[in-house]
Amino acid sequence: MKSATGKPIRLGKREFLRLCAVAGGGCLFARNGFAEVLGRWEGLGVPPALTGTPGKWSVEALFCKETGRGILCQKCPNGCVLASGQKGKCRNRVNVDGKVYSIAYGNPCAVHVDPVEKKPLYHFLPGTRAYSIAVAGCNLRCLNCQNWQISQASPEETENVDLMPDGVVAQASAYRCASIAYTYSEPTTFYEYAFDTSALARKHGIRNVWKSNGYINEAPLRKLCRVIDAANIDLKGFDDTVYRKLNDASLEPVLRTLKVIKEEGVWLEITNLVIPTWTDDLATIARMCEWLSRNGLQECPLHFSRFTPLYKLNQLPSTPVSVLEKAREIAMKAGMQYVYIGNVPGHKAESTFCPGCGAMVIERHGFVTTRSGLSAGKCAACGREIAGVWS
Amino acid sequence: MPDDPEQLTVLPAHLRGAAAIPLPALALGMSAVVTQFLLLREFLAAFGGNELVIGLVLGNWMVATGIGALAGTRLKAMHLHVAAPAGFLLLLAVLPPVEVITLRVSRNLVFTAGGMVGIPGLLVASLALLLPYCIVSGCAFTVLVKNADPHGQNSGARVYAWESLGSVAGGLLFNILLVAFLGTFQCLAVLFLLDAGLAYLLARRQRFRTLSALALLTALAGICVMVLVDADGLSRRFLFPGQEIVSSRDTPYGSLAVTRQGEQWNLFESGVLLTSTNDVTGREEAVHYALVQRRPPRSVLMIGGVVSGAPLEALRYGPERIDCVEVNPWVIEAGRTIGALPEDPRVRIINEDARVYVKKSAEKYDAVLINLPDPSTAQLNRFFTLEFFHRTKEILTEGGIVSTGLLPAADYQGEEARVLGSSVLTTLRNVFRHVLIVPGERHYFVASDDSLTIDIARSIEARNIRTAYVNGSYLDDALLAARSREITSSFALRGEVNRDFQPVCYSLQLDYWLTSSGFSPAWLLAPVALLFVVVFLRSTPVEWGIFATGSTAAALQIILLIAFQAILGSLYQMTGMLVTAFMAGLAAGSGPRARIAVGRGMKGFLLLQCALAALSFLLPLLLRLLNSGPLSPPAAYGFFITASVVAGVLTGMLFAVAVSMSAVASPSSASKLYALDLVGSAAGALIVSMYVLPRLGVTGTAVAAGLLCLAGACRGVIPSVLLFQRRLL
Repeated sequence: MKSATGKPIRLGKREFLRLCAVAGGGCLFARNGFAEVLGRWEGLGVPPALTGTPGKWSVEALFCKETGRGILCQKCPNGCVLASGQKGKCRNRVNVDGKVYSIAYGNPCAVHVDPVEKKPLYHFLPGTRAYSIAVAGCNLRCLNCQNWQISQASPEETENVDLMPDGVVAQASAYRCASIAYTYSEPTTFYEYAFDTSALARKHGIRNVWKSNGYINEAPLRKLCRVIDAANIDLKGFDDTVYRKLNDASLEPVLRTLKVIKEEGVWLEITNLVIPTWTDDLATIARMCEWLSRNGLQECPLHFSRFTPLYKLNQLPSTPVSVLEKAREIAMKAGMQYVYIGNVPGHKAESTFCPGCGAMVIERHGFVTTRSGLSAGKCAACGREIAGVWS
Repeated sequence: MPDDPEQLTVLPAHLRGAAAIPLPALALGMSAVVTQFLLLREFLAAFGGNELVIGLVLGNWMVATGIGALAGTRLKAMHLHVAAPAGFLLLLAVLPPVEVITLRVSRNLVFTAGGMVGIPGLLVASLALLLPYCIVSGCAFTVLVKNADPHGQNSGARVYAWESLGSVAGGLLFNILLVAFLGTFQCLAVLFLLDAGLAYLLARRQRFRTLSALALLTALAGICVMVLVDADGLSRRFLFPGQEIVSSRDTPYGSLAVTRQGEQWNLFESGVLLTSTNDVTGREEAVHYALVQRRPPRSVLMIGGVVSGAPLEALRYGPERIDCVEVNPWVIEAGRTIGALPEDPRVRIINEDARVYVKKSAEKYDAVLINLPDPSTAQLNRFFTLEFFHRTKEILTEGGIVSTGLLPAADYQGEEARVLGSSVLTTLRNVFRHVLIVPGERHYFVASDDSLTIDIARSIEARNIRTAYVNGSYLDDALLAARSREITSSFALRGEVNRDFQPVCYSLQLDYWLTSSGFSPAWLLAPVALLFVVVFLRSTPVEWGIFATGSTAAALQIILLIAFQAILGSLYQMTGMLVTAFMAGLAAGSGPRARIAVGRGMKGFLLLQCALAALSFLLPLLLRLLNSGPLSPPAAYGFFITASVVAGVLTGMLFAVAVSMSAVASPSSASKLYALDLVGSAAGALIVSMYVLPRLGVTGTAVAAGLLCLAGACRGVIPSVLLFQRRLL
């Protein structure tokens, strides 16, 4: 028995503690672990490097500039500097041997036909369908992302279809869609693909709809505005601290985007998701609406959208309807003329009312619209022009 | 003076010798087990989650206690040993309420408010919160061994036995009395008074005046705080920021809270949002996609979502009867508070575990609506298995319909979502001729032996049922059909059938959850695997045997709990009883008589390891027999309790024999074995709950646990064989 039990005990306290430290440390410094402990998850740096050469679904990326440290991507305010082999924060721009490529060209992972109201766009060709596409990737890290499986992924990780711009336009025509929507993930990250498709679609009389977080630099945005017809921008809050914690972004670039789109004459609607404890502070909502009004955006429809528990914010209850109604009141008091409540089926604030006489000009039940109160873009009751793109 | 070391050395032997073991060891065991149950419930309420959360918290508990036990070997001063039991008990009295309050207050301050906490966060938070209590209790164990046996005459097994006995008493006290009648803070108060009172008595008996005065003062201060401060209400508010807590209750099934924001009421169970009023879309989708398929149903069975307003929707079809099964009567009470339950004689509430009800019901239903969260726990997985769907079909009328929801809506199905959806689809297709997926806020799987239609909007309008969401205004049948086809084809790839003892969906849902939190299981698996390798390579056969036994025992406990839930339902009290039965076995097994029965030598140790391995191999066979026959609850309860006791007895005997075999036979070697047992259990609990069980199922896990135990036995046998060969040569 001596051989079985006679050995000195090897696993002493120090070794045991060291083992625990190794185990614990491994977990703590696991991917995203340390970031989470610090209150942020990811976004501490760019994702790991990509190897290999760009394939079929790649084009040379626009808005890039050589710097001493690598190539600076100037498309969005993240300003990633990419050394050879590195990917941007959006996960679909990659530096291959000193040249940055977009690997999100012609390879959408989501392709659907939706009512245009689903974007939501209420004043843009109501009752029509939008051929909707998305390529994986996003330049934000929202805790409540509905489509995290594509927004927090690279096109290499998703199941994609081969659909080049001409294919998108052909499909949109075949499905009798009035517009093509670049949506679901973040179209800024598949800018080149969306831009080329938009340009081609225009030639075929199909409009283009941009559904975005608005986190884009001015130059690419102005170039884009030449080919798109409508945009719905998510204004996710009006507090920079909340923007940083909730979305890993900052507020200022989004506000600039709103102003630029308006200036460029693209039809603009704004969505504000009201999240309990995050973006439901009515005083902040009032400041937001005053800013919108002050900056000439009072005719842009504003959609207060109801939050439902999703992704990482899955332990919060939905937004009470009364909070959305109060937000709507505040917005209208601040001068916003078309304010809607979204994600609340059957709510009367789905419909459009004339800011002049209060008459209902477009009655909406979900995606079914009745334009009985609208005549040639004007209120049938008082003749006031109702802002929008109606045909 | 009481604290004078000179004086201590002349203390009568009975004050520091063997007689000083029972009471503090009993109190330690009892206090630790009740605190463990309470903190576990608090962790679940604060972080939501699944068995993985339980596994992580329990794993950390055992690791931290192991660290404490090792740290205790360093406390050498004799005067500390003698005074320590009372001092430690006083600390053990104070720490649990402090930790519960810290957990509640810090949950939404440290982590994202209302957000999911990933594995790394959970690991760090639970370890940080558990460390103080566990270090103290681990130290207390070692010090008790030293205090009772300063000359190393091998009393570790006795302390272990008394501590286990205390755990049994604590388990019984908690599961029979405390959990049924008292809330968390009331339980904490009982525990506080028990520990502080005992600390006072011990200190007084040992003539430590300062310590006894301190214990008395602490007890009095504690009573004042209990009377004057609503610590429960104040601390609970931090868990629900921005919400008014209307009522809260710790039920045997979990912690319930009803909160209000404006006109909206929310109902939380163990931190998980069960329902909110005004969720029109959710409640309409859960009911109409199924009920619109056929002529108006006469009888409907609802499983889950009873307080979501779904019964109100089903009443629109004019059924004769709606049976709603909900195991927790307080959920029904809360549902009435928030006005989510109709006062209609056709709606009958059945307070029973739904799985058990379906298994034994003689009723027939035209439709069974399952409105439960995704199979993110083994407990929920029971409602997505082949066995459950088969039994559900038996209680359906001819051509009857079953409907269940899965995964939140999204515009793209990721790999994990596709595989999970495929599994549910395949499982349903094994039972029903037709399965239709209706994409909504969730994917609704509607199944029947008769044909099904995706023309939801047209059908509902034909029936003239007025709904807010499920109608032609929001649903375009053509687009819905296209989306349904697309999702069905993406789900129809490589689906594995989900079974009771092969919980594929639970495993896949775990992957989905881990992916969404950006965590790879490998990051946790690697250090645990490393731990196994290092202990295997660097420990003696006995130490390895104890480590492997700890892991095997943890695996067997988890298997028994999972199987119990699958067969007999989610009776939390009985779940606690199983753990208590295991601890009773531990206490009995580590007692002197049991140890003598197998002898002290290596032969007995190996024999016991083989017996534990045999139990592991036998268990899946017995469970399958039990699950295949008609359900006899008394026999099934008897089986699970006996199996738990036997596993406990074998584990306890192994520990006792290991301690008696230790050549050094010092108190510190007993503590080291205790620590290895705990760390082995922790590693086993983690690896089994997170990786092995979801992937290998009950049978695979039991076989793996048995093989691990045999590996321990082999390590004991091989050196003996080598020695024998050497002698021959």
